[in-house]
Amino acid sequence: MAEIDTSQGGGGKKKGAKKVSTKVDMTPMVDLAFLLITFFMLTTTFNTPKVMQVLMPDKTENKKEKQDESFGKCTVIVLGDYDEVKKQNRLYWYQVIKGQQPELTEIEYSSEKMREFFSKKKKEVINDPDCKQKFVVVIKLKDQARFSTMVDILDEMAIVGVSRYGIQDIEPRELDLIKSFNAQAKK
Amino acid sequence: MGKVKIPRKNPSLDMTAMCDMAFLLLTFFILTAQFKPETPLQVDAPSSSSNEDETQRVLKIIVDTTGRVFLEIKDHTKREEILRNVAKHFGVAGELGKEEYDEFVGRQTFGAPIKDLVKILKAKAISAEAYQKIGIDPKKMSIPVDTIPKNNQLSWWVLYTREAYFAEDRARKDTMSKERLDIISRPTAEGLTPEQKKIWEEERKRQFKVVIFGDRNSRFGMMKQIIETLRNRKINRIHLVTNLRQAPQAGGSQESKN
Repeated sequence: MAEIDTSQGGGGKKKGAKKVSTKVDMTPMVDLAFLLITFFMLTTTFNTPKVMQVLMPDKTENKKEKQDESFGKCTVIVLGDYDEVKKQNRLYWYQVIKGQQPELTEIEYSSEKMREFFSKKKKEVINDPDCKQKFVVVIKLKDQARFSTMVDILDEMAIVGVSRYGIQDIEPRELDLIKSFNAQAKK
Repeated sequence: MGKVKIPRKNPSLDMTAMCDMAFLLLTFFILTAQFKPETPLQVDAPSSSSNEDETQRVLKIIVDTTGRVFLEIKDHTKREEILRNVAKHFGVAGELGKEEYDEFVGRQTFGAPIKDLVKILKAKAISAEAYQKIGIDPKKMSIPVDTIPKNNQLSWWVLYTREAYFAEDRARKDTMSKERLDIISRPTAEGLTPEQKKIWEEERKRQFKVVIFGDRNSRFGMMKQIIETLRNRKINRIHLVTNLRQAPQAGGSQESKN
């Protein structure tokens, strides 16, 4: 099978000592080899899992100083939610500015839109002399928000290059903000 | 010269080359193979552009969509010690014998309250039917992550796992030269020679990490509880398992939608 038999070509009538071919039929071996290859290809997890690092603030650290800088026009507060009815992630943002009612704005949930938003905000804040180049993002997610939302936002932070961000608990008034925003959107 | 002889060609090929290649590929796949660890949970990690590899010395907290929590202690040599300490803490150490410990060492992942875990190890249960036989609902198996610290079993597993790794680290550090200790205690690799940098990075990879392997559809509320548990144990550096997605260029906007 696997050998190339040349003895039958031109000199078919030639008679001589019987030559025993030393070649081995390799077809079954190849079959087996490919079977094993297929098996290993399908069972391997090629790359080792990747991890993403998140730093949380130390609980015992004095928080007071941080609290002061985290509000105002240099800080964007991002709220995440999951719409159980429409089965989609929702994202909103607002800023706390003295003397103004906080107003929610929705960010369309896609990596492009998120990136666009964060880069734009970052530029605005960096160019603002009051902020001293400190752009802070506070991430607050509702309990039913998905884990992927958290990872997506953290990922955007890394891509856009926001080094000051924190994950905090959502406050009741922020839940109300989302509620009233959605009620208004329905009208 | 009566007959015209048509030269008969043998249609078979020389398969040596093909065989060589097949075995080469086979060798490659065997050597790179890392079998998917079997988990009783179906978990689909979210994607991110982070390119950091997972290391060996980790405690993995696996969370599925329904909020069930399992643990994976990769290093099997530490499993016995960890279980011993946790069992002692919850007052069930007397129920565990050598056989139970051996059974535990053989398990990469587990997720049950400690009392159920003792039962499972005693019965050597591994399948859903076997769990049901000893009165445990396999769909509800999970390590309790309670808001009341006393009942938060995850917190104790984390504590004793970290202890086990730290004890090993301390023993290792005692045998190290002063130079090496000096290098590895630096916060960054800046200002080190390439050789020193290598040592530094090696040591970084050895650091004990807590990794959360959550499903993309896990609720954030559950994640928050787990992160809080870790923070209460003063673990502020947390790693999340993610699938790699193509990292976009900073400021670019033509990336494919994900």
